[in-house]
Amino acid sequence: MEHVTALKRILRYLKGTKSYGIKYSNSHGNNDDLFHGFFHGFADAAYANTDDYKSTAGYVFIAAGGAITWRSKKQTFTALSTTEAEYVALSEAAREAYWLRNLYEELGIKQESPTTIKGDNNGSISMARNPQFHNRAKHIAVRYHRVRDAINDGIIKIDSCRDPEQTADVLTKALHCFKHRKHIAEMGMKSTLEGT
Amino acid sequence: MKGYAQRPGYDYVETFSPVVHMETVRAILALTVKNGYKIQQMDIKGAYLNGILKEKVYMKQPEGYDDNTGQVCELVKTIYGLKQSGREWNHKLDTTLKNLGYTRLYSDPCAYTRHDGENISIITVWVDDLLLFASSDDLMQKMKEEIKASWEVTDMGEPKKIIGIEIDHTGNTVTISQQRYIESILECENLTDCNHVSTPMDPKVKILPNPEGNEGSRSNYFTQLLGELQFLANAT
Repeated sequence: MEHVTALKRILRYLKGTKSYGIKYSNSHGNNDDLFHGFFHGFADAAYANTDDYKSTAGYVFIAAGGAITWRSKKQTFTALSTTEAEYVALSEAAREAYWLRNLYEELGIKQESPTTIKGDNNGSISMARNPQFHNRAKHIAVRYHRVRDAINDGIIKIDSCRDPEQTADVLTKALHCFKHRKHIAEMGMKSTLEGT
Repeated sequence: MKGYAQRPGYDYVETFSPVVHMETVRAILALTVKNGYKIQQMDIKGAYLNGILKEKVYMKQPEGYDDNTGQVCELVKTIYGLKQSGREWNHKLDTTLKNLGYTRLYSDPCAYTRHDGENISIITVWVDDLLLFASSDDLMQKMKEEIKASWEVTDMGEPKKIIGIEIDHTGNTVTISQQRYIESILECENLTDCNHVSTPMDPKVKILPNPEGNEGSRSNYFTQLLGELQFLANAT
């Protein structure tokens, strides 16, 4: 399929969702309390899913039931494993968490507990939690290990989630309708035409 | 002097784009619904005419006001079209807000806060378009009066639209959407009557690399618009 055709398809998607918006609400049931913080995040990667076998990483942070920041980006290097791609995705999300925590602190909402980031890849999660030498990770650029400092300093906490609960999945690859709708709803995307 | 003829380092030293990050605005909107803040919008009239020029800049006498002596005008204040106008305006705004007791955020230089005990006021700046957040109606009133005392402003009340994003604040929810923006893109591409699809991309389809490389203006136009959309709000 050509790029232009793909773009046209995106426009046809937008046609169906043009009335959608991100809704922030103070109502209960948006799970904030479960995460012990004002906001929480998800980080995910899809391994080697582009033309040149680079991976696509994505993260999203959610507050008051709606997405506040997100990113979907092809990684600049060729990851050698899913673990590496996901580890770097966690690291990028950790950087965003630093910024958001600084921002909220300046706005008078200091986060006392670490910000939860959910990943769905056990290899990358244990690599972030355990700062030991991993033979398969020896080539990873030093800056990505910053995620370990973030954990040690109580900035973030990495939890695992199962694939269906990985909201950031939708930012890394094309999904089928059911999952796509589930994840965008988790980001607070609602039609503005529906009643509350 | 014409803006495009200005030389860096000579006619102007620094430029600055005084716009708040959308991430910051969204983060504040989430905070707004959690803490029940009030939101108001104000537009500063002729903002760029307020900046004081540091560099010497001359311009031809404007058409219709030419006295035919061949003399040129030396600009004292910034005007629209000068490279440094954005920066000088922002400098002026920054000084004024700091005098009013606001602190510029490190996390976003186009956002300001003022803490007063439990009360908080927040201002975000998009060139001359200000969003005001306050923890109470009284405080909001005070903020507005202080700003009105400093500049001539248009009081827009509750914001309906910020930088092409529609915003709806009802009760304890805030929704941001871009319906009109999407409609205008669809109109440009004559897709207003197309059938819609449920996902942006078919998972089974593999996109081929473009054989001609980057296709030039058309594809750039698209990627730019869609990138903007995604960055702002809706293309998730």
